[in-house]
Amino acid sequence: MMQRTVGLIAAALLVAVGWSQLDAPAAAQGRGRGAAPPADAAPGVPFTRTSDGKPDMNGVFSAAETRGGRESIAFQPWAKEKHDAFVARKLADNPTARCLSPGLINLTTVSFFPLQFVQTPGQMVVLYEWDHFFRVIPTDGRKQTDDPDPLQSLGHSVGRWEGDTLVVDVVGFSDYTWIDNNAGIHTDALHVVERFRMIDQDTIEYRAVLEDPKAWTKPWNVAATLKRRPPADALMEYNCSENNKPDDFPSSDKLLK
Amino acid sequence: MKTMVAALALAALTTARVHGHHSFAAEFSSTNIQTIKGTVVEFQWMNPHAYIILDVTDSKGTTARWGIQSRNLSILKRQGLSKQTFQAGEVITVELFHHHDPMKNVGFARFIVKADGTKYDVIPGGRGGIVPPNP
Repeated sequence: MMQRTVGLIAAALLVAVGWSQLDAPAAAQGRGRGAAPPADAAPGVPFTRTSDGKPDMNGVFSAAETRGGRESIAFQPWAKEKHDAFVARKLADNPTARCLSPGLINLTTVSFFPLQFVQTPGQMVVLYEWDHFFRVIPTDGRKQTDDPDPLQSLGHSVGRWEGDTLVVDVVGFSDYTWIDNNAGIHTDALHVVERFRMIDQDTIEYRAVLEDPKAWTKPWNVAATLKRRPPADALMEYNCSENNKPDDFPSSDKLLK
Repeated sequence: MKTMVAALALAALTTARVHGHHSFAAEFSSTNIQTIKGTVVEFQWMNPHAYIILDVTDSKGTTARWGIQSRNLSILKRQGLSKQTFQAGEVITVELFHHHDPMKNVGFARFIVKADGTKYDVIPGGRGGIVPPNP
């Protein structure tokens, strides 16, 4: 009974204090620092605003775990054939297996690698823990480039604020990434429109609509909920190519008897 | 005879060797989940994957050496692990996704349990038992 009461008080405190206010050691005792933030938590504290009046997205976030499937990409026949061949090869050709770029959507929606928003007037910088990727997104009113050369794995981004939603237009993608990890092939015609909408101080709703008229038959929709990480949870390094020597990895003397 | 021994040794080496960065799906079965208990030979705390080398002795007293792959260090750190978490000589239990080739003593860790019962979920973000994208 006593334990239950304590539990209830703790739960009430949790709601009152808000998930983001928990310090890392306390969180670590219960669920581990990496425990996924709840996707359906009660509405949190209202978000604050930056000096220029925009929702203040500064901070470290990670995608909440989602259950259930994601919409499949509708491939054109030639792309379907290629996709199916990759699947038949058990996805062994995944670019990330060679430490190449995971692409925009994986970087944003894979739950176990956080990202950090660094927001200044006229610009949003996004730092991704996964392999040190970053994006610099101007929000100063400039138009999307008409010369997206060189092509980049994360494309060329230009942002604008529509009310409290940051809308980012991305073009100029190199064609090798798997935009969804399951052999989500695309071409350099890929065009992405992302929407980042702050729900409360700890929650950003992420939606993206992706089109590729050269490889797909209809747009592909992606959604994720980004939750703020505990205050002590800074980005760490994840350098995929570190120690990555196929023939003597790991130190194989321990594997020889 | 010498050649045969050498060939067998080479085969054993190839079998036991776990190698660099790769696609999870290409290497491991997401449905063949095994639980093994053994003695830590070495805990290799490094990117892009930590490894546990584990000696597993079966009921007949035969010891097999396993190579167990895990996630990268930032993920494991957030799951409560550190360089000191596993020491050579300690007994642990590992639930793992077995290599597609069941003859290989190679797996990808799912849960790791210490002798005192401490359990580490080393695949955070798993969706209903399905392994998320390989980083």
